[in-house]
Amino acid sequence: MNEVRELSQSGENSHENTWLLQISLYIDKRLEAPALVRLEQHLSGCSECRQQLAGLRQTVQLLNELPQPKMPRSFTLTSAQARALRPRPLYHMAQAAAAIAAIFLAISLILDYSGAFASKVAPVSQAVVATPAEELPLVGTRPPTTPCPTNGLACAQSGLGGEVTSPAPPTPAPTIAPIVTATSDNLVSIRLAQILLTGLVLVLAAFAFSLRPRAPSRR
Amino acid sequence: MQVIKLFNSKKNPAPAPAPAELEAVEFSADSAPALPELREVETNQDIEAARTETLVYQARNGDLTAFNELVTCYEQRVYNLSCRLLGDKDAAADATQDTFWQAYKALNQYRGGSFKSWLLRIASNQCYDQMRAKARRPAASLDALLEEAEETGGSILGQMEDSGADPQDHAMRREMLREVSEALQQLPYEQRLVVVLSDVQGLSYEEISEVTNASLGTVKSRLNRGRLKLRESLQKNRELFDGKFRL
Repeated sequence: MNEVRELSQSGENSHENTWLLQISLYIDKRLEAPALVRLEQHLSGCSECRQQLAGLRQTVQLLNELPQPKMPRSFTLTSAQARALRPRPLYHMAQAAAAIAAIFLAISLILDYSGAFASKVAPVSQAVVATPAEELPLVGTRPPTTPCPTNGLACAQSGLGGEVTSPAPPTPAPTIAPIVTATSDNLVSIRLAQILLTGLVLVLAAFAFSLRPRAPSRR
Repeated sequence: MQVIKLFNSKKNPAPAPAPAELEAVEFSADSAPALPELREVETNQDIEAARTETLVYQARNGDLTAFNELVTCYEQRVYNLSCRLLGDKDAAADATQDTFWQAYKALNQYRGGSFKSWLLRIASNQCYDQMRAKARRPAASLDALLEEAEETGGSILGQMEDSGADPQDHAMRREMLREVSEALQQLPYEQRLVVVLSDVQGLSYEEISEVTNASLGTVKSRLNRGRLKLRESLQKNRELFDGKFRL
């Protein structure tokens, strides 16, 4: 029973799908000659489609007859509104400056994270490990009281463990220290530049935002 | 000398000539007084399109008067579309205002073609935005919209009254139009837009395709489904549609 009903419904849908779109086009006089003849032949024998045609025609006619609403006011623009809607040249300049600063910031961050700035630092850290302890100044440990029995590196390693008992004696200034200081200075200046660029981007973006064209007040 | 009435045609204007060609078109119109009627219509459409292009060109260069002339030409059409899409005169007024503001801001992005289609596309987008915002505030009644429309005197209802039509017919017709307005609001937005553009605004399938950015097949399908849903919705109020008004 359900199958019969489903078949019947699918048959109706097929009929609608076949002819209703054609009827809509027929009302708009957009049906080409072969399809037009077929539809007219079908209409002559199908009362359901004739009813659909009449109903759709009347619906379209009613839509055509819908009255034109009266405008509450004129929608012309005043010169003040026009000024508010068009952005000032300074707005474009601030936008462009913010974009350029943002590009520089992005480039510096990409280079930073890809290790381009740190390329000089890596060998230095290796050099620090390979350098004998007597050439390195101990930082953050207790001043040596007794000479180291073996070498400075062992003393330094034991110093890292918090038990510096026999640190290396004071040594002359190492040759690697200026490099470490120089790269540290570079990194500091890079970080400083990045912070400044971030600030500049934010300030310029805020400035451009404050100059953005805004919708004027409605009349 | 031909009498040229601008901006009154429902048909799609022909591809617009460049502003520099305007003088040439006007010259040929003036210098050929014995043109056939069809030719005259085509010439008027050309001039209308050229005039629009000229106004757009001037407005783009900061001429507010030229832009306001465009507004005056199209504001009734845009407001009508907004009213039928939103069913709320306050929201429609806001959408119309926003449409012209947006058009003024985006004039540099207009790349020729039909200015009317370009403007109606902006209007349909603004209406969509308004529709989403509309849920947050109460709508003015459709009755008020219809009553106000009757005051314009240009409606079919006004014409029926003037011609001494049967008051019962007039009342029934009025009720039907109210039903149509309400039934329009029940349609999905895409179908409502196509139905209004086609059957209220009188745009061709090609123009609707341009406004909605949909293919011709989609336009036909949406229009058909919209009309069918409208008819079904109106049929539910069958008691209103006795005799010659039965759908």
